[in-house]
Amino acid sequence: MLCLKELLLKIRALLSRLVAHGGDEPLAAAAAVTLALLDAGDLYAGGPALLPAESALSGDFGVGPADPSLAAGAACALQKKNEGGVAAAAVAETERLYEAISLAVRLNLPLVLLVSCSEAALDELSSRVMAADMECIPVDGRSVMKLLPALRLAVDKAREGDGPTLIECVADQPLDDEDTPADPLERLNSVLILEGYATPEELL
Amino acid sequence: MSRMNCGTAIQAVLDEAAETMDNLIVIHVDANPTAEPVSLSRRLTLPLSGDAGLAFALGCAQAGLRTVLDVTAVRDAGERLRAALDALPRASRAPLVIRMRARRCPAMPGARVIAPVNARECAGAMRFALRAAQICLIVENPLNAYDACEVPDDPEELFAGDDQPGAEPEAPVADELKEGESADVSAPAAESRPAVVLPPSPVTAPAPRGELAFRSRAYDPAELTRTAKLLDITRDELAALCCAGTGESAEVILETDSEPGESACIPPDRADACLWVGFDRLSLCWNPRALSAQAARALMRETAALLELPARLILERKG
Repeated sequence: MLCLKELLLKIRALLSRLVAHGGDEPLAAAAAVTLALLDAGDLYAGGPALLPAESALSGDFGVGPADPSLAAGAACALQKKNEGGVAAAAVAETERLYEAISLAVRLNLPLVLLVSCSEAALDELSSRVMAADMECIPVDGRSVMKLLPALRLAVDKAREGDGPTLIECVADQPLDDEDTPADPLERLNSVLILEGYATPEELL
Repeated sequence: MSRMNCGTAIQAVLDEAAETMDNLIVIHVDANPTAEPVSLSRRLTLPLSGDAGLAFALGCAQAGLRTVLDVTAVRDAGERLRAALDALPRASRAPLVIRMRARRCPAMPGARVIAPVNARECAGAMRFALRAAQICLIVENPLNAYDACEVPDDPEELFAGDDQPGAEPEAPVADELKEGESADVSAPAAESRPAVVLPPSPVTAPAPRGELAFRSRAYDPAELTRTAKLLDITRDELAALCCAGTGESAEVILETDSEPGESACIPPDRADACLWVGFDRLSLCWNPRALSAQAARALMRETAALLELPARLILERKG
């Protein structure tokens, strides 16, 4: 188990890589946190590819939305293997998502889905997901420190065999104060400096 | 040797495979989208739409399960799967067996399509597909679904492929092949093995005409370009390679048909032979007076081996 400092530095490395690939920043932050929490043998679907979690730190890795059914299939395979594996995926909100959610709930799959959404769309998304009996956790998608406990809960729950979770990464949640940077990477940097985990020079 | 129909033959092979393959899973897509999913140890029944079923099965396959996707209950599965496979990146293609029913064999980019015609071939096709390292599509003809025939219990009898080391597949129905009949054959892995054993040429081949008379006349140029792109060669290279296989100067027309499921045989009204290049098969329609059987066989063998495609050889006497 990594200590908080090591975990945050690992998340920062992943986030820098994912942000460099472009795409949705809250989703990149959630993907970075998820990847940092996954173990060897777990699977992550980013974009069209399904990759072992340990390969995320090496090589190119996309953050684009994956097919939720692909992730559900991977979770089904991990469940059949019965080795405590977890599948995670960044997905877009489509009708296909609800089909995969319904299946994941019925089969109690070890699956964590990350969806980026606006605050205005949050209510509708949450109500549809909860109607399918799936737990959903809305969280500020630009804050790694808020994403971390939510995702740890979801990954641990999936690993324990307690079913799937949907993490709603809110992209436009109002900031706590005016000095807080909106960019997830900048915000994480300020936390690392404030906590004394890194100096500004090290983060350049 | 047991008497079975297509469904029972395939089920027997799956039962046989389940005993030896720990990672085998059969995903049956239910026609009713509101049905309850049912999960057994080796079998999963899911109420998914056709293309979502493919994505789910691919997820299972990529995560290390030997997956059989059964979409025999899904209407229009061929078209939906084709669209889904078309959009699938090459990196995402894990070994997967798809079983479907269709009266016409769909063109399926990036997949090996096997169209067994009886229970014996169904069993061999499933055995082959379970060992293959690519996406294999087994297309059963619903008209033959309940026709029973004798199926040998030999677990090594394969159909439509010989790329497994040590496996000795047979050339199906080749010995009984007659003019006007058709047979599915596989691309040969070894040079010494012909794609299909033909009877002796009915006529003597004419002397070469001296001039290479190859024309490319695609019904849909976009289709030809797309085929060449899928095969990762240029359109001209594809045309040249098909022509080079003849070894003779007979007139050959490369035809493509944009309608999947259309008859593979295009009558050679204006040529001595027509070579049809599809996503999943090659077809040759030829005039035995212009092209010898050996040349036709060489053309099919070399082109099929080059493109690693199953081939359908249609012999047709012209005139």
